[in-house]
Amino acid sequence: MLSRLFCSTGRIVGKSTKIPLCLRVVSARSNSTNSVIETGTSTIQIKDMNYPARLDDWENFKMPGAPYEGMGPLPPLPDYDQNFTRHYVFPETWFQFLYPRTGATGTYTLLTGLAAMLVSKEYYIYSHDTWYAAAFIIAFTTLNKAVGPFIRDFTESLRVDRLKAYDQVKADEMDGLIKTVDEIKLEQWRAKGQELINEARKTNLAMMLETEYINRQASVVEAVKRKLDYQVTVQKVDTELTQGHMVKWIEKKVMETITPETQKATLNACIAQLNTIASK
Amino acid sequence: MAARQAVIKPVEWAKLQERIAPAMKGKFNTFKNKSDAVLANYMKTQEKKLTIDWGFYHQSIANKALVQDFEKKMKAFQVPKPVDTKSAILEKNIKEDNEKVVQFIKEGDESLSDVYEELNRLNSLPPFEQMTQEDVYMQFKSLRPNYEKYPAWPHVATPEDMLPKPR
Repeated sequence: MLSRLFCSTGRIVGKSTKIPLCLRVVSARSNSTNSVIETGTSTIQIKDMNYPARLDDWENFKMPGAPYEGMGPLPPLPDYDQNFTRHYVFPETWFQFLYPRTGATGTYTLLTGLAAMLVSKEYYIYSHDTWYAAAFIIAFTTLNKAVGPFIRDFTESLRVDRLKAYDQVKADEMDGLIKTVDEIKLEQWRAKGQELINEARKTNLAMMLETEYINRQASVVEAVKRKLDYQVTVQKVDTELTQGHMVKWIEKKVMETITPETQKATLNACIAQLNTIASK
Repeated sequence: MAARQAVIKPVEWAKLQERIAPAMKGKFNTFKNKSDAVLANYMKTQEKKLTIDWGFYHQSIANKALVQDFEKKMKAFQVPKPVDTKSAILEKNIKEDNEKVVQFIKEGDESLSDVYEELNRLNSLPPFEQMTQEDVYMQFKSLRPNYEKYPAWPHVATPEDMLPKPR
């Protein structure tokens, strides 16, 4: 009960001015984004066990890698009804029990009457400590009313922050693992690309062989062609030489036939011809 | 004369390029450059003439017997094919490579199964609210503080090693 004064943990079921925790649980369950990753044969469903998750069937749950017998999760925090008690100590059922008989003030009347009876009959001995106890109760009630909510929220936030930090550590680890899966699969896919490279190497080899073969053929063809071209050129030079020789020979023979007498005769014939042309 | 033979299958470089790991880009590029040079040489040979215009020489050379002799001998002559000594080595290399690839994929599968095991373990943990502190330390070894090395709170080397604040 004292922990309730300092820490509002647990699932609050009753009416409350704050949003009850159970609603947060319900909304977290309905809004949880579950992702599915593929394994080789099956699929792993990523469970959303983040705060404020709740495992109800905790007795049958098997902890992974449990190092000792019976190790398992703790039971979930019990449901907590804020309206279960009034003024932290008096059960609501007492008020409900007396309500039909005495109305809303019944329990208070009963308690006051009981206290008065205890004092008057001296079942409760009135002493110095009574003042002390009364002062204690009043002081703590005042403190609780004044700063109680702040202290409760602070301690609750400490607890929740730690849980959320653990959730983060777990989520980061899982993200890293999923990334590793992706990377390994990518590397495997890349390794299978070796086939393509081998094909390229085979193609290169075939191309090089083909190139060499064609080059050899081309060089043979080139050599044969050069010899034939030589023949053609030799023939051409031959004909040119013979033709030139013939022209020279004819010229020589013609020159030999020309003597001074024939030259004079030709000159005379030319003059006679000129004369005839001039007389016309 | 037997002219061009073998049908050369073109290499799908684009398909290959996307499969290359960034670390291997340099090696791959040198390989591709060499291959491109081989291809360029091959394309150059495609333009070479491998036939002789015998009709022209029959016409232009007076010595018919010589040309006929040349033609006959040319037809009878077989250009020796280049001896393929590298093919066996290449086949051997390819076989070794394939073995290595198979081995690599096998290793990858093994580490994958380890990763899946780890994932399954993390996935089947109960919510932290229902775990004891010791359970948390057992499942997440890195969280366990080293009390012997760091006897004073917060039992870590630097404040960054403490539990992170929720995001």
